[in-house]
Amino acid sequence: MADIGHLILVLALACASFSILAALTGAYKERLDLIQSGENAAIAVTGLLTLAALLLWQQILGHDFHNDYVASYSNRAMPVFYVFSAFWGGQKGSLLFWGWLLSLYSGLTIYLNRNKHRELMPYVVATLMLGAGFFILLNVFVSPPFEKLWQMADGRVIRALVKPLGGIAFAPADGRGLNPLLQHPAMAIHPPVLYLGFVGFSVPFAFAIASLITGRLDSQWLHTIRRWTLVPWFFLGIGMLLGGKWAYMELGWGGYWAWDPVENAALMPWLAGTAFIHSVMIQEKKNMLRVWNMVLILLTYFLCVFGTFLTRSGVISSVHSFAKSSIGAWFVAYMALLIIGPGILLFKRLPELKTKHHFDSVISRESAFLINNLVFLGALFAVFWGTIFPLVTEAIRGVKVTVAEPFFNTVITPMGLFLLFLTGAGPLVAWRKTSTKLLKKIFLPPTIVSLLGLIVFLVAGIRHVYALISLTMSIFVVATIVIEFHRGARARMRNGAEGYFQAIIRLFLRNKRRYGGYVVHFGMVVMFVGFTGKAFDIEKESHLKIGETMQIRGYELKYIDANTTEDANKIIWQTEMDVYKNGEKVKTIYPNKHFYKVQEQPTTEVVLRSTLLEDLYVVLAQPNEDRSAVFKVYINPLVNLVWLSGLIVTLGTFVILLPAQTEKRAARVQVKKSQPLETPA
Amino acid sequence: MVAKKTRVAFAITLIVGALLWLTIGSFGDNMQYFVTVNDVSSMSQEELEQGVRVKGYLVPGSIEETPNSLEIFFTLIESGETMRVRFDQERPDTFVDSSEVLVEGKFTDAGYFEAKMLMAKCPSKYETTDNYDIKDYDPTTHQTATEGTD
Amino acid sequence: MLTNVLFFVMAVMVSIYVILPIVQARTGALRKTSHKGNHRAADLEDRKNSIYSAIKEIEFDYQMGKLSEEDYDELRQQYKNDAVGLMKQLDKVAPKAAVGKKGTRQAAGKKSNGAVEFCWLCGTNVTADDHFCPQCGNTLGEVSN
Repeated sequence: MADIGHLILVLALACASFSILAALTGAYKERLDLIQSGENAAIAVTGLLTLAALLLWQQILGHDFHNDYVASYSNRAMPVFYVFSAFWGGQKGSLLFWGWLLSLYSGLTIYLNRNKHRELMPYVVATLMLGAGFFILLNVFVSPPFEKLWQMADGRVIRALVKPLGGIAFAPADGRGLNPLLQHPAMAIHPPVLYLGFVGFSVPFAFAIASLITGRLDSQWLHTIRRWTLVPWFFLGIGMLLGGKWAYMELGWGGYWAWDPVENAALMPWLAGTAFIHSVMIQEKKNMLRVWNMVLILLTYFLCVFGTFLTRSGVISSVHSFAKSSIGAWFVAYMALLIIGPGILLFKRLPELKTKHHFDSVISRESAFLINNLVFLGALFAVFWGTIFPLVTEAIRGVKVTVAEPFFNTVITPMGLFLLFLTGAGPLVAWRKTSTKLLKKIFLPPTIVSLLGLIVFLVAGIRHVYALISLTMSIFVVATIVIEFHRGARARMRNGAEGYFQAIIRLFLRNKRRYGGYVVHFGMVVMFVGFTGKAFDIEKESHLKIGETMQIRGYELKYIDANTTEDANKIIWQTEMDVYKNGEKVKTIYPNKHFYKVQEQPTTEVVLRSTLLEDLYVVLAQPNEDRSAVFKVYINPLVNLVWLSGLIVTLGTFVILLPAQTEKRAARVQVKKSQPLETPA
Repeated sequence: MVAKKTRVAFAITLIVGALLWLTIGSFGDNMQYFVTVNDVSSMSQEELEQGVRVKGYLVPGSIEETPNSLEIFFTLIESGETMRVRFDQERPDTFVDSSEVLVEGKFTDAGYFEAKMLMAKCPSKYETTDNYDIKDYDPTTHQTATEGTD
Repeated sequence: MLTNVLFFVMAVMVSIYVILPIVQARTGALRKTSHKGNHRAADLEDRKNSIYSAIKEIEFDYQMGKLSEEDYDELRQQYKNDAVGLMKQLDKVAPKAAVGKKGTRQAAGKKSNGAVEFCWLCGTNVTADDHFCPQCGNTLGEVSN
C-alpha cells in the first residue's frame, strides 16, 4: 500500500470529481439533495486536503527522510521555523499547498453561502472543485508529495509510491535541506501569502462562471464577490512586497524588483484585479461595462493560473522550453480549458450582457475609471508581451528572443505615473459629468499645492524628470485625499452636531469602501515615492585593508576587523565596520558571508544602516586570505517607504473589509441621538 | 449627443494608441537573443554584437579570481561546447560549481564574453534540484542516475 | 496495517457524509422544494441596498460640492424611480415584507402592509409611523402611495 497521505489525496480527487458531477446534475434536474451532496463532497475535500497537509507537515517536522520530498527540502540542522516552511519549498509541496488553500476557500464559500445564492451555488461549487481537482490530479499522478525512497538490490536508490519488487525502505541519515538563500523570514511567509492571492481569485471566478451559466447577470454576483476580490488582491500585493523584501535582504544586489518572469507572474493578475476592483464600481453605480467586467475577472483568474504555470514549469527561464517540465503540458491543457469554456459562455450571454448605457461626458468619474482601466490593461499587456516574447519567438522562429529589463522600466514608468495622476484626479470629478466651472474650482487647490511642491523640489536641486513628476504627482494625490476627507467632514458637520474628528471617524464607518479606498490610495502614493528613490541611488565598490576607509555620499566607512568562525552548519566570515555620517559615528555594522557546507553554497548577509530617508546597504562581496576584503556599498534612498506602504495598504484594506455591522450600529446610534433634520438644500 | 460619443471614442483611441506606441516603440531597442553556449558558434557576428543572453553550466573549478577586485573569469559549458566569460561585479550566492548560469552581454575582440549581468539558477526555481542523489550528478551531461521520474 | 484500517474507516465516513443528503431526501427528512421565491426576494433586497448606497453617495457628492444641482436632481430622480420599481417587485414577491433578518424584525413591529421600511433617500431604517426620515428629514410614504 502507498502512504496513507497519498491514499487521502486519491480519495480527495474522487470527492472533487463527485462534487462536480453531483452539483451539476442537481442543478440541471433541480434536485436539492444532489446539490447538497455535491457541497458535502466539496467540504469533504477541504477536510481530506487539510489532513494530507497535516500529514506532510508531520513527516517534515518528524524528519521522516524515507519520504523523498522531506529528504529533498529539509534537514536536521535547519531551525524549526524553516523546517515548517519547507512544506512549500519544492514543487510537490507547493502544489499540495495550492490545492489545500483552494479547498479552504471553497469550504468557506460554501459555508458562508449555505442559505444564499442557491441558484448560483451548484455552479460555484463545480467550478471551484474543477480547480481544486486539477491540483489534486497533479498531486496524485504527476507530482506526488508522499513518494518514498527505496533501495534496490543493486544498491540504487529510487523513488516510488509503492514498494518496488526487491526494494527495501531507504532513508538517508539526513536530508539535503532547504536552499540557504530561502531561509529568510520574508521568504518563509512570501509563498503562502502569494498563493492566498493566486488561489483566492478562484472564488470570484467561480461566481462569474455561475452567473454566466445561470444567466443571472444583474449586479448581484458582483456584490457577492466584492470582498472575495479584495482579499486575494490584497494578499497578492503583500506577497509581492514580501518577495521584494526578501530579494532586497538576501540576494545582495541592492534592489527589490527585476522584472523577472516569476515576479511578472504575480504582477499580471494583480494589474487585472486592480482594474476589476475599479471598474466594478461603474457597473454598480451605472450598470455599464458589464461585458468588460466579466472579461476582467475571467482574465484575472486566467492570469493566476498562467502565473502558476510560469513559476512552476520554468518555460521562460529555460532556453528550450517545451521539453523541460512534465507539469507544463497539464497546465497548458487547463489554461486552454479556461479560455475555451468561459469564452463560449461569454459569447452566448453577450446579447444579455450588453447595456444601452453609454458615457455622457469625457470628464466624469466613470470615464476616469475607464481611463484607469485602459492604462492598467496597457501595463498588463506590456508586461505580458515582454514576459512571453521568448515563447512567441521560439514558436515562430525557433530561437528565443528576450526583452531586457530596460524595456519594462521605459514602458511601465510613464504608465505608473499616469495612474498616479488618476489616483488624485479620479475621485475629484463627480459621476456623470462635471462642468468646466466646477472642475476649475475643484482642481485649483491641489494643483496649487503640488506646484508649490514642484518649486521646492527644483530649488532643492532635483533635476531627474520622472522623479520630479512622481514627487509632484504624489503631493497632488495626497492633497486631493486630504481635501476629500476635509470636505466630507465638513458636509457631515453641516448635517449634524459632530465635531471635526468625530465626523472623520464617522466618514470611515459610513462609507468604508470610499474612505478605506483613499487610505489604500495613500499607501500607493507612499509606494511611488519609495520607487522614486531609485532615481537617486548610488553604488560603490572598494577593496579595503583593515584600518582603511571609504567614502560614499556623506558616509564614511572604516574597516575595523575581520574574523572567520565555523560551526556544524557553516563557515562564517565576519567583518566589522564603523559607519560615520557627516563625521559622526552612527553605527557599527558587521557585513558577513556564510558558507553552507551541505549545500556547498555561500550566502551573503546584507547589513543595513536604515533610516526612513535612506538605506546604507553594505555587502561583503569578497573576503580575502590576508583579511582584506572587497565591499560593495549602495545608498538606496526612500526604500523603507516601499515597505511602509504595505502597512498602509493593509490598514486601508482592513477598513474596507470591516464587517457591515459596525456601519449599521453607528447609523442606529446616530438616529437616536440626532434630531430630525430639514431636507438638505 | 453624437458629438459627446465621438469625443469619448476619440479619447479612448488616443489613450490606447499612446499605450501601444509606448509598448511597441520601446521594444526594438531591448531585444536580445537567448541561446545556449553551444548555439553561439552558429550565430552571425551581427547578431552577437546586438547583445545576447547565454545559458550554460559553470565548469567546476574554472573560476579565476583577480586579487583585490571582484573581477573573475570563468567557463560555461553546454553540450560539449565551452565559452570563456569575464564578469566584474559581485556574483550572486547561487553562482557555484555546476550551477546553471545566465549571462547577458557581448563578445569582445579579446576572445571572451563580457558579461554585464549574471544570474545563476534562481533560488525560487525549486524543481531544478529535484533529483535525489546530487552526488550522482554529472556536470557535463547534466544527468543524474535517478532522473526520469519527473 | 493500522493505517490501512484507519483509511478505510475514513473513506466510509466520507462516503456517508456525501451520500447522506440523498438518503435524507428519500426518507423525506430533506425537503425537495426549491426556495426560488425567497431567493428572488433576497436578491431584490440586495439590489435595493445597492440603490440606497448609491443614493447616499450622490447625496454626499452633492453636499461636498462635486455635483451640480441639476445633476443631483436628475440622478436622484433616476435612482428614486429605480427604488420605487424595486419596492413594487419586492411587494409582489414577498407581500409580508418578511425578507432577510432586518426585514423580519421590522415586519414584526409594524401595523400597515407594504409601507416603507427604509428611507428611500438615505436608506435609514424607519418605522411605519414616521412621516419624516429621522436621518435626512426626507418626507416618507411616497413609495407605498
